Amino acid sequence: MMSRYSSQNSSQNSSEKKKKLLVANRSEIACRIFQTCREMGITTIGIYAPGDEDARHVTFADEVAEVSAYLNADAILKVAKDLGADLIHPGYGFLSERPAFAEAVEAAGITFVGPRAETMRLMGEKIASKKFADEHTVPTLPWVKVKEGEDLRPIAKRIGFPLLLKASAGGGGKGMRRVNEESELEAAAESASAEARSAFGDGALFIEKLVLEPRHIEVQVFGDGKGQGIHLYERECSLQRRHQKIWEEAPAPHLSKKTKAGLYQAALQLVEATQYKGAGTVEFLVDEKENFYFLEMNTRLQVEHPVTEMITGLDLVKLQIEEALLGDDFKLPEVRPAHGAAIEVRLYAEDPAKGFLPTPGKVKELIWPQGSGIRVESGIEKGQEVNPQFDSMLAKLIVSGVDRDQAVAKMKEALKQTVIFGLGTNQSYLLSIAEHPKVKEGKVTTAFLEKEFSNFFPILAEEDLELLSELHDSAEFRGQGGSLQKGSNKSILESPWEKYRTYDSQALKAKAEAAQ
Amino acid sequence: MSMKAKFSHAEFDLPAPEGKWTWERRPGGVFNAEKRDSKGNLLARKKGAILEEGNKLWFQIEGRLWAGEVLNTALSAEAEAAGDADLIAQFPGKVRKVLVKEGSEVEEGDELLLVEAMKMEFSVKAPFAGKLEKIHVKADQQVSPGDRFLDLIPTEDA
Repeated sequence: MMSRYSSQNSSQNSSEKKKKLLVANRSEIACRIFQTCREMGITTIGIYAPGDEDARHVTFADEVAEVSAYLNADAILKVAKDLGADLIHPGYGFLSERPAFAEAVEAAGITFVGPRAETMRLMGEKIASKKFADEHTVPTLPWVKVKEGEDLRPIAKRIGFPLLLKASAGGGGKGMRRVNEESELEAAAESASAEARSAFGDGALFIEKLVLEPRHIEVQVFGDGKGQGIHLYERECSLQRRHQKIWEEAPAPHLSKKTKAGLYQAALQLVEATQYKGAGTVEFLVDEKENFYFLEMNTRLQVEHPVTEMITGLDLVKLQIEEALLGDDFKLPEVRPAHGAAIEVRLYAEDPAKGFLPTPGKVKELIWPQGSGIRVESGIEKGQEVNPQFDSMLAKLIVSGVDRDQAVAKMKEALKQTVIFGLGTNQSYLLSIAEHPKVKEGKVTTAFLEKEFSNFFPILAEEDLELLSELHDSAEFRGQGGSLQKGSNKSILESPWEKYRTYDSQALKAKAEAAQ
Repeated sequence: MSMKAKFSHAEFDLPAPEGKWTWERRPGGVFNAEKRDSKGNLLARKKGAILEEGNKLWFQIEGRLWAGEVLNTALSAEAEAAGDADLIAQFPGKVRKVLVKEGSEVEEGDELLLVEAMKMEFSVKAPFAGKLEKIHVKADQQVSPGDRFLDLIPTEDA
C-alpha cells in the first residue's frame, strides 16, 4: 500500500474545501488529466493495479490507492468515497464508456466527468447508434448485429465481402477483423469474439460492409447537455495499424470545405438530438468521392484530443471539468478559426517488424524531444518497468506548426530527438511513416499502412553498421549491466568537454590488453 | 572473430572496426559522430545514442531505434542451431488457443497457437516444417518468458 493513502482528507472542514478528482485510468491519460487538475487547483487522486506501481501517473497524483484492476468499478468507487472525491474522470478505454459505471458514480453522489449514462448507452450500442443516426438523416453503412456463436454465413453473404467484424461493445481496434471471403469467416469471428470478450467482457459482434480504402475522419464536438453544441473541427486518423490509430492530425488535409461543412453538420445534428453533454467524437468513413458515412460516436475524451487542442487553443479536459463543476451554469466556449496544423503519433512498446508483438522491458534511458511546437504526453519514466499486462502505449508525441509541411518536419525532428532504451518501440516505424512521400503529401487512406508497411523490414545502412561496430568496439557506452569492459573506462571520468576522442587510441588500448 | 548485430527480424554483419569514425560522447548515451577522409573533409555526420548491457544493444541512429543484441558469430551459430526461439515465450501472456495436436505434421508458417498479451492476440507460427512431438501448454494457461510452448522436430530433408 502507498503511504499517501489517507482517509482523513475526506473529513477536512475547511470552508473552501479544494475539489478532488479521481482519474479511473492509468498512464499517460491519467497524467494528462492530472496536469489540468493541478492547473485548476483541484486535488488529484490516482489508482494503480498490481504491477503498475512504478507508473508515472502514480508519481504524479496527489493521493493514490491500489485497486485490484482498472476495470474493478466497485473498488474504484470505494477509493473515491474513502478519499472524498468530488469528481471521477474515466479517461478513455477501461470504464469510460460503461453507462453502469457512470450511473454508479452519480448514485454515490460523485460527479461523473462525461456525458449522461443514457447517451453513452445509446451511442455505445453500435446498432442503436446507427439507427439513431439514420433517423437523424446522418448516412451510415449497411450492418447487422450477431450474437456470440451465431452462424454468420447467411448474414455475411447478404452484406457481401469484403466485410468487417467488430466488437459490439468497444473500440480501439480490439475485436476487429477484416474478412475477405467466406472461408475466413469462422476463424475471424471466433478470434474477434474472444478478443472482444477479453477487452470488454462481451463477445457480441457486428458485421459491417467494408468500404475499400476509405479515410477515417472524425469531428470533435462538445455539448452543453441542453441541446446546444459546438464542433471543434475535424481530425484525420487514417493511418492505422491493426485497426488502431497511430498517427492523427488536424485539420484533415485535402478535404473540401464543402465536405467539412457537411461533416460538422452531421456531427452537430447528433449532438443536438442527444442533448449531448461534454466532449465527444463523431467518427466517419470518407470515400474517394468524399461521400461520408457515420461510424460511431465515442462518448469520451479521445487519445488524439491534443491535436484539436493545438489548432483551437482550447483545453478539452478543462472544459470537461468546468462543465462537470458548473452544471447548468456552464457556457460553451467561443470557437475561433482553427490555426496551423497539428500531428500526434503514438509510441508503443511493440515490434513492427514482427507483427507488432509487445516488447516490454525496463526503461533504462529516456530522452524526450523538446523545443518549439513539440508536446509530449508520456506515461513512463526512466527506471520504470513496462509490464506486458497493460496496454503498450508509452506516450504520445504531438507537434504543431504554422502549416502541415512544418508539422510533418517537426514530427521528424521530434522523433529524431527521442531516445527510449531498455525495451523495443515503434520509433523507427513512425519515423519511416513521417518520411513517406504519400504522408508528406497528406494523401493516405486506412489501407495505407497495411499496403506500404506490411513488410516493414528495416535495413541498417552500411555506414551505420560501420559506426555501430566502432562504438561497440570502444565499449564506451556500456551500461552497468555490461560485463565486457574493453579499453579503459577512465575516459568516462574525464571531462565531458573532451572533443573527438579518436578510435585509434581505443584500438591500441584494447590491443595491448588483449596481448597481456 | 566477426561480430553480428541481431534484431528481431534480421541479423547484420558488423564490419571490422577500422577507426573511420570519431565521436563526441554526450550525456544520456548520446553521441555526435563524424567520418572524415584523410584530408579532413567531412564525409558523414550522424547523431544518435547507444546503450549496451551484456549482449543487449539499444542503438538510436538519426531517430531510428535498433533494439537487439551484439553477438559474435560463434554464439549466434549456437542460437541458430537451436532454431526454434519462436517456440519459446518471449513475454508473459496467456495461451488463448492451441490450434494443433501432438503428432501432427506442420508446414513452415502454419499457425500453432494463439497467445494473448497486452490485450492483443498474437499467433505463434511454425519456424520450420516438422512434426509436433510434444505440446507443453494448454488453453488459458499463463506463460512466462522462457516457457516452451511445444517441441517441433524438423522434417528431414528428402
